[in-house]
This record gives sequence, C-alpha cells and structure tokens, in this order.
Amino acid sequence: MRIRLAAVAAAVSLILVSSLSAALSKAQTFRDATHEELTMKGLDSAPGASAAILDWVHVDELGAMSEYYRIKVFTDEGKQYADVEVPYMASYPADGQVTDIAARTIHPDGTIVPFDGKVYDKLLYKGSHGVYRAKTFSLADVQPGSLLEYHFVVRWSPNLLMDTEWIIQKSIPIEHASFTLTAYDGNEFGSFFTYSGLPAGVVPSHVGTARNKFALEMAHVAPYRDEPYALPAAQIKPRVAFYYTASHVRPDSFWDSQSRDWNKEAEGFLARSRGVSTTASTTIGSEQNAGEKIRKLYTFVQGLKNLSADSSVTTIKEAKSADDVIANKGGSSHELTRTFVALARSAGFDANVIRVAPRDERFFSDKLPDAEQMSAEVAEVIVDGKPLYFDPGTPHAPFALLSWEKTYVPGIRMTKGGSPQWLKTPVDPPSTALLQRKADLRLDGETLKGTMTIAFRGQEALVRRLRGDDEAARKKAIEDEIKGWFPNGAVLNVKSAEGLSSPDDAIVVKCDAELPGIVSRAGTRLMVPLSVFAASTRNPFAASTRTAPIYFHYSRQEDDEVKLTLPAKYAAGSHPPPQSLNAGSFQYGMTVEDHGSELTMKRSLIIDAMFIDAEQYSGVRNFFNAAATADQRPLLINPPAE
Amino acid sequence: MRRALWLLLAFTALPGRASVPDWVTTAAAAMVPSAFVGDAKAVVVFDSKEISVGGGEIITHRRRVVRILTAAGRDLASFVVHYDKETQLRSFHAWAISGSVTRQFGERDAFEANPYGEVFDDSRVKALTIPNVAPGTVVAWEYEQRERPDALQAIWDFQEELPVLSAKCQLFLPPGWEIDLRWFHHEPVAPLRGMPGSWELHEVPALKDEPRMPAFGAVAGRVAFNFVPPGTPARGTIHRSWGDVASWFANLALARCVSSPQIDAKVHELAPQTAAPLDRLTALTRFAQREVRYVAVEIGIGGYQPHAAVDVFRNRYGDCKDKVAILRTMLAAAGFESYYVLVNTDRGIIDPAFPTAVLFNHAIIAIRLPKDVSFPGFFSVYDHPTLGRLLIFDPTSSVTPLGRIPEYEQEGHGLLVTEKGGELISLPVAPPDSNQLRRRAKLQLTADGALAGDVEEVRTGALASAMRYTLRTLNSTERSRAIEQMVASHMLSSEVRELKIENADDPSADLVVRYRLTAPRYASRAAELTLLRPRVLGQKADAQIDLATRKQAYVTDGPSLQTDDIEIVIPPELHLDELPPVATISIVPLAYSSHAKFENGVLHYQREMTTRTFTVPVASLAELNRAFAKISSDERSTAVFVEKR
Repeated sequence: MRIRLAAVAAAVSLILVSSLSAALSKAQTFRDATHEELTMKGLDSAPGASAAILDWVHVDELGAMSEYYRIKVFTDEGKQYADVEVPYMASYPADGQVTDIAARTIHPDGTIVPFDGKVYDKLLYKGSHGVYRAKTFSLADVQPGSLLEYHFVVRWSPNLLMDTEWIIQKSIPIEHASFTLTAYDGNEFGSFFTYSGLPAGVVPSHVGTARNKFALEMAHVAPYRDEPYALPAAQIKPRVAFYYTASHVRPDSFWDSQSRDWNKEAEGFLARSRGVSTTASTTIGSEQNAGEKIRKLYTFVQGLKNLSADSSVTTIKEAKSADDVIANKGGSSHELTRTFVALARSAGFDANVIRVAPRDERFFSDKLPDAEQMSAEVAEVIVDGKPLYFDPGTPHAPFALLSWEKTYVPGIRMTKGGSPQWLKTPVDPPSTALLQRKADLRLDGETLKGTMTIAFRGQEALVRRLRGDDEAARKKAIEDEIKGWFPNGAVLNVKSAEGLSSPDDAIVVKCDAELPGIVSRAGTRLMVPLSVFAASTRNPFAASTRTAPIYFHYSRQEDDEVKLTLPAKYAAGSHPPPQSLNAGSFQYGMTVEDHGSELTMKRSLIIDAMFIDAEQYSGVRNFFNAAATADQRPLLINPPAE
Repeated sequence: MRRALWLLLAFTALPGRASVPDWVTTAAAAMVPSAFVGDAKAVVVFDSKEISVGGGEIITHRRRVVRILTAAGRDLASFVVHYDKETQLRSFHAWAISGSVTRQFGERDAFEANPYGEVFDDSRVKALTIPNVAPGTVVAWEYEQRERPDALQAIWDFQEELPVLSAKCQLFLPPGWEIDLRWFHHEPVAPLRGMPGSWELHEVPALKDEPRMPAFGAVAGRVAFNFVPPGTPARGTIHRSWGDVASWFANLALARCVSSPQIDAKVHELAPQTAAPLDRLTALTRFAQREVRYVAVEIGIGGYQPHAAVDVFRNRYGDCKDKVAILRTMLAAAGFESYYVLVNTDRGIIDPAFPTAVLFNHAIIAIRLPKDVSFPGFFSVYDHPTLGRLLIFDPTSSVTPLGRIPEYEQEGHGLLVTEKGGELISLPVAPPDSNQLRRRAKLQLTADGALAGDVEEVRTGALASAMRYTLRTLNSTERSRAIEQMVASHMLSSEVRELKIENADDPSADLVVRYRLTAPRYASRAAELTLLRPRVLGQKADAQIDLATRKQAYVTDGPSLQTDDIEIVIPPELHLDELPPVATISIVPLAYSSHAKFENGVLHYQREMTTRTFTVPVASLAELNRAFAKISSDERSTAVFVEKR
C-alpha cells in the first residue's frame, strides 16, 4: 500500500536526506557494554540459545527507517548473526539507499573491534518490477561471548508513504525492543494501526502530545517455535502494522462501507446475468426435486474452468455477468460462485453470495480495516427451507461443502435489497470429513497380502484434490500417502482411483497390497496388530511439552475395517479386547470379531475439535497415546507345529 | 520490503509478437515415441550446444526445445541462465507454441537475481517464466554466453532428469587446434560423418531420482572437452594434466598465504615451540575451524582465489579457501608444511581421467606430519610417496575433529596443490570401528508393562559429527525435543527426562547423550502373555529398495560400527516363555548379529551392525534387500513372558 504525495515531496526530502532526525539518531548511538552484558553466558529464559538480541531499536519516519541491533553471541552457531543483509528498493518509485552503516564487535574483555570492512552492494532482483539490492556486511572477529552492535538507515523517496509492519519475534530471544513511528501528518489521507499477538496490556501508544508519533516497547520475547498442528505463524507472532489509506475510513465504520461496496458489486453482476435462465433450465431438465435441481446446477458450474486455480494463468479477463462466464466456459473463483448463485436464483431458489474471511493464513479481525481479509466468496442457497452452503469457486469441492478454511469464519451475506448481513459460516461435523479404510488380507509367511479400498469423503476428498496440478500428481500423492501408513517396504498396486478430479463426494482408491514389516515374531508365535492402517502412524503429540494452542483445521473421522484370513492349520491365539476411549472431543473405539481362521477388526477415531489451549495438551497427548497403544495391541497367531 | 521482493520474483513475463525460428518449429513438430517418454512431465525434444573457441574466449550458443506433457511439467517453462563478471550473456530469447498460437519473449521479459544466499557473491541469473503454459505447449529458448575462462575447457552434459529426444553438440575451433575429449557414463560416440567436432545423440533416457542414489553428476552422461591451441599455450590456460590444474591454482592461491607480525604472535601464543607437536597442531587447526567464521566472499576471481591471510586473520571470517589460507600461513609460521587440497563435496564427481578445475567446489588442507612423531587415532592420513604422511583436515567443517575428514569427502578424490604443481590423490577412508554408536540401556519393566531406566548413547567419528550437525542449531529445549522425537519414533508413548548431552560443541571428544527413559505400556499383553521387544531403540534396517525400477547404486551412511547392549529387569511374577531367535547376517556391505538371553530375572539383548562400504552396486541390491528384511524382522521380534501361577 503506497501513496505518492506530490504535495509534500520536495520540502520534506531536503530535510531528511541532509541529516538524521532526532528520532533516527536515537537508533544510531553505540553504547558501552555493561559488566553484566560482557559476562553473560546465556539466558535463563532460553537455555541453550545461540544468541540473544539484547536491544533492538526500530525507528520509522517519512522516507527513512533506522535500525539498531545489540546482539550477544553465546555459541559458535550464534556467530551467524554477525552477517548482515539490508535489502532496499534501488529503483523508482522508492529510489532507495542504505546509509549510516556502522558496526562493532565488543569482546568479553571489553576490547572493541570497529567494523572497517567493505560493505557490498548485492543485486537481488532486477526486472520489469524494479531493482532490488542489498547492502551486506560482516562484523569482524566474532567469537562466542562477543557483543555485536550495528545500525543502519534505509531511505526512500519521502514523497512515497510506506506502510509499516513490525514483526516482533525472531529465531533467537529478544530481551528488549523499542519501536517508534512518526507518521505523515497531513489531512489528505487516513491511517490506522492493527496489531495481534501482543502480550496483555502492550499496545502502540502516542508519544507525548504529537498525534502522529507512536511507540511500542516489548521485553523478553521468546524465540518462535514451530509445532505440529499449530496456528498459522502469522497469527502467533507478535505483529504491529500501520497502514495509510486513500480516504479517511474509520475502522469502526469500514466494514459497513466495504460490505455495501461488495454488495453492490455482487448484485450488479447478478443483475446483469438475466441470460442464464436458458442454461439453468437446460441443465435442470425435467428434474423436479429441489435438491437434485441444485445439484445439477452445482455440477454444471464445477464443470467450468476455474481460472483462479490455474497457476499458469496470470491475467484473467473480468466477466461482467454469469452470461460472460458461461460463454467463456470459465471464470475466476468469485465469478464462478456468482454464476452459481445466478443460476440458482434463475431456477427459483433463494440464493446469495457470501463474502468470507478464510482462516488458513490469519484469522479475521474486525478491528483491521483491510478488505483483503475477506478474500473469498461462497454461496448460500435455501433448499427445502434449509440453508446449504456451496463452494463452486474451489475446484472439485463436493456438493454443499465449503473448503475447510472457509468454514467457521465470519462472512457477509450479499442481498438483493442491498443490506449486507453478517453471519458465521457453519462448522461441519466429523462425518463430513471421513476416511474409510477397508482391507481384506491374508497371512503369507511374515507378510500380509490382499486388497484394500480407501475412501476419502467430503473434506478429506477435497484437500487431496487440491494437492496436485493434475490427476496424475494427485494420484501419486495419494499413493505415497497410503504407503506412508505402513512400515517401509509396503508395495501397492493401485487398480483404480476414482473421484480425483470431480466434485463427487469421495475419492475411492482400490489396490492390491503387500505389507511386510507388520507381522513380527514372538518366539514360535507370530504377532499382528490388526489395526494395520494406524499401527505404524507416528503420534504427532509425542513431545512432552507444548507452547502454542493446538489447531485442527477441521473435525474428522476415521473408520477402519480389517479382515485377516489365516493360512490353514494356523490358529488365532488371543486377540485384543474391545477398546473404547471417550475424551469429549476425541473418541476412539476398536473391536475384533473372531471367526476362527478369519478375524475382523473395526476401528473408529473421531476428532471433533478445532482449537485447543496449550494448557489442555497433556489430556490430548494422553488420549492419542492411549489410542496408539490400542492400535498396537496384537493378535497372536500359533503356526502349526513343525 | 523483502517480502515484497520475493512476491515480485513470482511475476511472469508478458509476451511479445511471435517470430519463431525454423529450428523451433521443426523441433516442435517432431514425433516423440510414447514408450520413450514414459510418465515424464516433459520431454526435451531438442537440445543443442554450439561452442566456439578462440582468442582466449569460449562462446556458447545454446538452443533448447521442451514439450510440456503434464500440468506438473509447467514449471519447466521457467528458464535460468547463470552469469557473472567473467561470463557475459549476449542474447536471450524464448518462445512458446500452443496449437496455432505462438508467443515470443526477450530479455526485457526476464529478470536478474542473485541465485545464492551468500553474503557476498556477484553471481547472477537471468530468469524468465513463460505464462499460460498447458500440457502440450512447446517452449523453446536460446542464449549466447561469452566467457573468458581460466582454462579452455567445456562440458556437454547431455543427460538430465528429463528424457532427451535429440541432443547435439558442435565445436568450432580455429585451424590447428586440437581437442582432448572424454565421455563419462556413456559409451563414446563417433562424430557425425564429415563433421568432426559434431556429435548427435538420440533418445537419451531420463536419469530419474532414486532414494540414496549417488550424486547426479557422478552418474549422468556427459562429455568433457579440452581445447588445445597449436604451439605453446599461455601459462595456466591449458589443463591437460592434474599438475596443470594444480599449478594454475597454486598461482592464484599460494601468494595469499603470507604471515604478519600479528599472525606470528598469535601462532606463538597458541602453539609455542615448547609444546608437543600434536598440541600445536590441535591449537592451530582449532583456531581456523572455530574462530574463523564461515562467510563466503565470492566476488569476481574471488570464486577461486582466497583472500590474503592477513585479511582473514583480521576479520576472523572467510570461506573454505580463506580458512585454508590462514591455517596454511599459521602452520608455516609454526614450522609445519601444508598444502591446499581441492575437492568436491559429492563423492564420484571428480574423475581422475579428466583434469579440470571446474568440478571442485571446496578446499581443505593436507598437513605434512613430522616423521618422528606418532599421531595415534588419526584416520585421515594419506601416505604420500615423497612427502610422507599427510594429515588431511577440513577447517570448514565445524563438527569434524583433527584426524578425520567429513564422511562425504572420504573415498573421493582431492587435488593436492604444491609449489611445484600437484597431483590427484584418493582421500582416506576411516574404518567402521572409528565411527561408532554404542547404546547401553539399563531398564526395568513393571507389572503394568511400563519400561523405565537409563540410556546412554556414545557416538564417535562420523556418527558423532552427524549428530552434532543436527544439534548445533538447537537450543536446550529444542535439543530435548529432538531427542524425544528420536525416541518416540521407536515406541508408542515415551518421555525423556534428565537429558544430558556431553561434548556437543567439542568435536575432538566422544558425543555422549544420557537420559532417563519412561515408556508406559511398552510391553503388550495378550491373554496371559507379556510381549516385550528387547531391541527398544534404534533402527538399522533401511526401506526395501524397489528392484523393478532401480537403476543406480545405493549409497550408505558410510562405514560404521553400531552396538546395542540392553538390559531389562523383568518383574518376578513373570517367567520366560520364549526368546527371540538369534540373528546373523553377513554380506559384503554389512554384517549384523543379535542375540538375547534371560538370566537371573534380567533380559539381556545385544546386537551389532557393521557397515563396511559407502556404496552398494546395483548387482548386490537384491542381497541387500534380503539383509534389510531379516534385520527388520529381528528388530520387530519380541520375547514372550508368562505370568507365574
């Protein structure tokens, strides 16, 4: 988001380029090392850290940004923080430069090694979108125990307003950070702050009486850690952003205004789509059932080319109406969704477009007046008095199913009357994301051989359809996934894989399988965990501790059935007893039917949860450990006496 | 700003008016046998390299036509050409043909960028992504490069990961010039009739990626050329022998190794004459390895030429050849003779049959050991016929101690560079028992099937280096998690407490990991039986190799000796029913044995695995599979206990 400010250009730039402002200077002063800094060996709050940022001063002004870093190196690995790269845009419109670079190394004994090496100017990118370069330099004589200090100023054309974003978490701990911003003070433009992930009570605040000066102080920021089933990184990391806007939009009225604009745009598209009735009636034919009618229309739209999903398409000619989309046999995601709504309305359904805020990268905040948050559209159709939600803009999305990132999120319903309405999209039950696995196996030596049928239904089908560019890639990915359920060496011969590139409810894979590595010897006996699909699965919650909340993208369910036939004269010994675990949102059940030489295991796992606090981690871990234990309980088989 | 930059890199080119040359349209119309293509995502229909030599320059004119076959193949419509200060890019054009629609692209549609993440590096690429490419689209590109290389050599690398329908190479030399050439990983092919200096290959199969295969460059077909002018060539421009290559590098590097009073003083401080030779060597090599930070500064000739030792000493940073420069200088000041050794970090890339500098990507050092001093426990010693014992050392590898070289350098070739020239040497291999993992566990089984006790893992040599490499970037919490994850991969439920890691940052000592293991529900119950897998930790068997499709040899983690010694105290209410059978396997690449016994209420399980070779040839892979299957079966075996009545 950049705005050129022709009016303020010349005067301001003269002032800024000629000398450092007081605020920038604040970030440009080296300080003596304290005894504590010189002797510190590590941080109690981050034992074993390779280095720590003791102080980070970041100053944003019009046309310039200054940074100061004070870093303590604890280990050899921490020496990497002495290599510095400062990127900048060297071409129009920023015409940037990096100035005032200074650095020094302070040894534990207090001796100072000033940086007098070369600063390189490295090309990062040069093309039709400008020239980006970086100043690079390396501090000298850095050892564990060294204190690194450096600062620089990045300048750009002061008649270019740049948004500011502070992400206040790095791979090493930050002991203290100070951020200040002096924003443009003219009346031509609006501006606003947004922030997330900050500790309680910490917010950017005004400096003194100046209305355009802001400051933020943070202390003891732990390094970022990646964990399985974590919230999006952008959601976790402390972040502050300051945006300029082309008009004086107040955050509290932004969404009202924005939703009206969207309503007008969507309804305009629909109003111009009067020519779709022929298509609707042709598609529906003689069908009378409402559910089947809407299914036919949905299948028709899913059959159109989704240009947004084609990575090779770089420019999409905008369609003005559903007629254009139908004539072009394709359109963008939004256009397909609106076309579906147009067809549904034409067929007599009460149908609306709903603008939604996907939750795959960041969660919606109504405090942030950024329209990009609501980047997707879905359709709502009343069928037999009930609202159904559709995702025709997502390729191969099954009938009446939203892609997971569009479920359980805020949305704005566009209406014919022009009065947008807020709502929350529904959250789907586990049964709409179902993995059904069936195996019919026989024991052959120490290998299990037989056939398997795997069905990925609903959300489980959709996520796999979105994995690859084409059917071959999707098939390969699924084959690899199925192989990954078993110990090394599993051989699959896929006989058929259906539903990979359609909006059908399920992907169904049928294959012959040879599974070595599951049967094991217990002296003269053989052991087989009958839960062959799950017995080798790694527990994602093996770690004994957890920092971040657990985030399941959607609720899901697994239903397994394994039939095992023993060879002649082999006898089944004891088999696992029935198992049932109920931890509220998590449920597990397993039973074995024993018919002599033929045994059938049935297993079910339900995860009916989305967000779980880190405090509840031990309960989650215990459940998954107990389920894994049940999955591994073996059937004992007695071979015939030799 | 950085984020904005990388988003921009994803932008693609806009087409210009199409004027498609004949070589593109002819190649685009070529029939491609479906059996030849198989399941490839694209096929190279035509690839041509014209190389003109003269006036100390090499001009390369490259033409290439690729037919995209699947949606996944669309990423092959991106082209990248490298260049730098020594190599000019003179022209750059591309075309796309989709049915009757043709599009043309030029240099203005491309962008320039730095391809590597080094702090200081002037390498550049010119890159172009052709948009709107669908299966069936034919994309073509052409460029001309002009370079003034240090040596007049070129490589025609005709085999790649895609099938190549037609590959062509043409050389243009001034009258009187000669060509030395060598074919690698392909039978030599005669030049085209009546066209000496022109070769054409048809239906070159794709070299597909296979798990644990040798480095691509060590198995891909290619031809290397040496261009030899008449008369006496300028010094250093012709590399017909390894001595020529060594002399060229010596000319660049050796003058950089000049000491200063400050360096001399540091040498005196670290390695006084009164100290023992081993201590002096240890101190100086440690300085180069630990106190000179790795930072690559590769500007212009800096890609080959080290910085002056005095600069490296002052800055305390440099790349591999800079580290060797300062170490050589300090060793000389201490009275030790030493030499540059140029290597490639992938085994098998350097072929003794074709002397060239361009395939080296790393520099290490050979230190001449004093005749009358013994250095026990050194596994990287090369016995040179005239220079005597040379200790090979890599100051860039922070996890490899003096006396060893990294596993990936062993069994490769290195160019020993001396003042008088040099020669190619075979780099020494450390024996299996110098790379050990010794795991000992004293555990107790409780009546409810939980396992608890103390585990100690001692790693030496390459296995210690590998573990140190993993641990080096992790803080204490992350190290605990990493160990927890390793343990968790062998059992359902476990906790690791009281973790202690000794010598993680000291590569000269054994790496010792100790922890207290708790594994609830470790033993399974089946009616009156308790089933206990005595192996507990560690997996020695690799995945079964798909012999039906395998084309390449199998690369191991290198020679090692790994032992497990597990004691489990069994509750008194259980008595032994059956023990796992003894396992014994011995084939050329490896040996494995295990046995369990039950005495005085203690289940004692011991096993040993020796890996003997770096590589297993294709002909031995069936045998290797059988061995892995037996090891895997042994690893799953359980002891059976019955409750006493």
